[in-house]
Amino acid sequence: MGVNLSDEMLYNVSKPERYIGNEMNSVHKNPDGIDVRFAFCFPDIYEVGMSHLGMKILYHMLNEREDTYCERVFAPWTDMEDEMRKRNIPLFAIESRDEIKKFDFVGFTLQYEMSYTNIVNMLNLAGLPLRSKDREDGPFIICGGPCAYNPEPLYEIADIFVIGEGEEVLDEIIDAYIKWKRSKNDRIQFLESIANIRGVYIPSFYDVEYNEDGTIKNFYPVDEKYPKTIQKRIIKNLDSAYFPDKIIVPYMDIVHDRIMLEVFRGCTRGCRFCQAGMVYRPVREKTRENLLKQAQKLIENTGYEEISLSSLSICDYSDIENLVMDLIEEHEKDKVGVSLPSLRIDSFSVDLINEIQKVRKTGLTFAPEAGTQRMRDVINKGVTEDDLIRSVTSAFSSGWSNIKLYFMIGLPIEGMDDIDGIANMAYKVKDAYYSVPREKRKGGLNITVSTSSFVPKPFTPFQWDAQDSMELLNEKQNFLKKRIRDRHIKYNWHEPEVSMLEAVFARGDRRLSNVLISAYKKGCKFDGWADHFNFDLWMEAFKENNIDPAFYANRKRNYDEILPWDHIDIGVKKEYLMNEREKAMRGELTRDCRAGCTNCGVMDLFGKGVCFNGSVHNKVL
Amino acid sequence: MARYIIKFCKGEEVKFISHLDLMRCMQRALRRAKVDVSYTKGFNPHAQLSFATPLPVGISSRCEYMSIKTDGEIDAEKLVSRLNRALPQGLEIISAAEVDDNYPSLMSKVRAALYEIALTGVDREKFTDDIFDLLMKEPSVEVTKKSKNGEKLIDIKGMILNIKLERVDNDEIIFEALLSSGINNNLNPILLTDALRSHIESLGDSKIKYILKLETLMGGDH
Repeated sequence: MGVNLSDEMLYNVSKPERYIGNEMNSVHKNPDGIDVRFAFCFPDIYEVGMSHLGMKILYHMLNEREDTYCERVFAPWTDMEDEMRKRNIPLFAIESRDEIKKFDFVGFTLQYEMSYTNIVNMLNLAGLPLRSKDREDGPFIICGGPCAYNPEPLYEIADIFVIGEGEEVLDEIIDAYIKWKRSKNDRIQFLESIANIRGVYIPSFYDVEYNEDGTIKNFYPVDEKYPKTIQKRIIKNLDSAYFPDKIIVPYMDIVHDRIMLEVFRGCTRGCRFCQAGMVYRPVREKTRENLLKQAQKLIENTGYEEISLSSLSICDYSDIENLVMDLIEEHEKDKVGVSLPSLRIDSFSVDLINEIQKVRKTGLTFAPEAGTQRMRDVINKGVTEDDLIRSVTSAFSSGWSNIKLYFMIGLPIEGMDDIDGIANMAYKVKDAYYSVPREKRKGGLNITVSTSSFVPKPFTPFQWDAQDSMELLNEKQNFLKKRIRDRHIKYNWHEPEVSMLEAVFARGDRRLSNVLISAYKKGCKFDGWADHFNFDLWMEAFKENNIDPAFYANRKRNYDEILPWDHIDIGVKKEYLMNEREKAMRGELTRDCRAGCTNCGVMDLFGKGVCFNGSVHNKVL
Repeated sequence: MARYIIKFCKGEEVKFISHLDLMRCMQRALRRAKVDVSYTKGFNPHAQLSFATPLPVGISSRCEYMSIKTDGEIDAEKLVSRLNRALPQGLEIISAAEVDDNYPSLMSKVRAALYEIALTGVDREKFTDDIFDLLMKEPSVEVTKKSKNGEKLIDIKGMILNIKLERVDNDEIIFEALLSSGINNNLNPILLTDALRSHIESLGDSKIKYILKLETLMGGDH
């Protein structure tokens, strides 16, 4: 029997649509005769979680299995949580409204560090002990997603981590689970049975010793039968991999309310700050024929009015123009639009974009990432100011007047000149607008400059670097606030306190598990939401556990230091990352892999071979 | 070009869907059903689809109306069956009829709506069967209406066209209320329950169990 969500309770909460389910294409099964109940949890609210492509793929994939019933769970907003706690309603799955405490698996996707307290809160709301060692029965807590590449800050909370892409490995874990469930063996025996599946990491089978200075002395499996390093899991052939032909169509307006068609995985650009660019290697593309078929089915089954091509650097797809033109041609008559996510300056083709947005010219986003050429070379963002000016000029002449520019501040070896360069660039974009003849441009120029504060991430060439102190980040932001004073240019920035915490957890180790639980107990949750973020509580939590956050955020590491994520193998070699860092310090560029292999080592995961499934040749570089 | 009036139910499963979200849901269902809905011209083309009245969030209904325009013509019965196959659980088309293009807008025709309202937490010691008769004998029925612009005291008595007790069961009562609905006068049944709580002692602590819209009453042209 599911929990009872009375009308009277739903009248009391904002946006009750978050909790009622029953959307088109949601999957409902009779739980009798199901072997595995899987609660797929997204540790944020419905409209954020429902916008996540990975969840859509895995939800429908798991439900293809007749023995498995996968349901969705989101973090209830605070008003709903209050109602639930008042009425003793435990955390439930949307589809069946059954409490997730009775499920076989409770899975969390780790999309960003600032959602970690929500995970803890959701476990508590479900009535589950927070720590793995305290759970004697009940569901296994399994975590995956991009932040799982450094799983250590959550080591005490999760029972299982999945490193890499989940499609195949989840199937194997569920097969092993069903076998174990029938054997009626101890809990630990299930974990034993999956510990050697590639991509599976069981944190309780490993131990760590620290040096006096707080760095790691030794990290090792507690028994030699467990693997020393955990290799990430990837789908070898994306074209034949599972992709849903229907997705849930929410009633409420979610963040990305459209079909997301995944075109390829991986990225060849090699930007040195970008974790996704390293961990998702190698590039694997789907064929255009397959993509068109998938798009057709998805439109038929959802009725969505928009389809977005989703991948890291979308214009790098080797057949992008044909794909876009074909999609538009096939679906224009049904008023289905095609959209592209964030664009790269150099690959921006105004013709292509014009084709896509024949009527609505809503806004264009460019990400130069850094303000000076010197800095862009350091981060290997191989674009120039000329590229940007040329692109925005043609955009302005085609009728756009709304431009967003994304930058990072606090990059390694950055100086105030580089910050000044951000403001200069914004003013040059404004000049470019006025260089376009008045009759060709649209009125109402609007330039938004956004800076995020650089967070050094594991498995990037900057994984050894210090984050700027909060004081320095504030100084840089204040400098920009003074420099950018123009009625056409708006400046947005991120709070340095949030960026600092992200940096702590991104490169954190096992000692942060206790800090996380302390912070939660003090009331931290929804840390990614400005209204809820409470920095002082976090600082108390660090203090209570004798942890200095600067040790993680603002300390430069030596190359020979054992990093908390060294036992995870993403394929790309550590030596490659070191070499990339050295080149960064010298301002040397590394070419795009499509122009020739740069020997990162990722193909060793497949036992050698070449990237791109052979599709690289379509692209004219 | 053809125009259709479509009658549908909004069931328990979807009663918390807001008006705007329901409109979007219908547009997507029409695309799934491959109905060639007409689009407006201009910079932001949108589907030619309109609803008679917005139903407040949390209320289910047996009689919602919408009007659509299509580029081609389609048999009304086919429209019903195709749309029903494309709708999520809780939404069901009851009937459809083709109308002339100059048929007045649905919104301008709506006059009143009949609701079945169930309240729970009624104080049975103080409760008497004639509470509604007594209420309607009052010179006015004032209630505080909250909106984005603040709070306002309004008299809703003139908008309560009829109110009648149906059943009493332990601490629950069920009654029917015929309320003004449409563009000129519109009384939200949830606001009515607020008024009942403040005007009738035995209902002071009552809570809504459910509200169901039974009928939409349309009038002649203006």
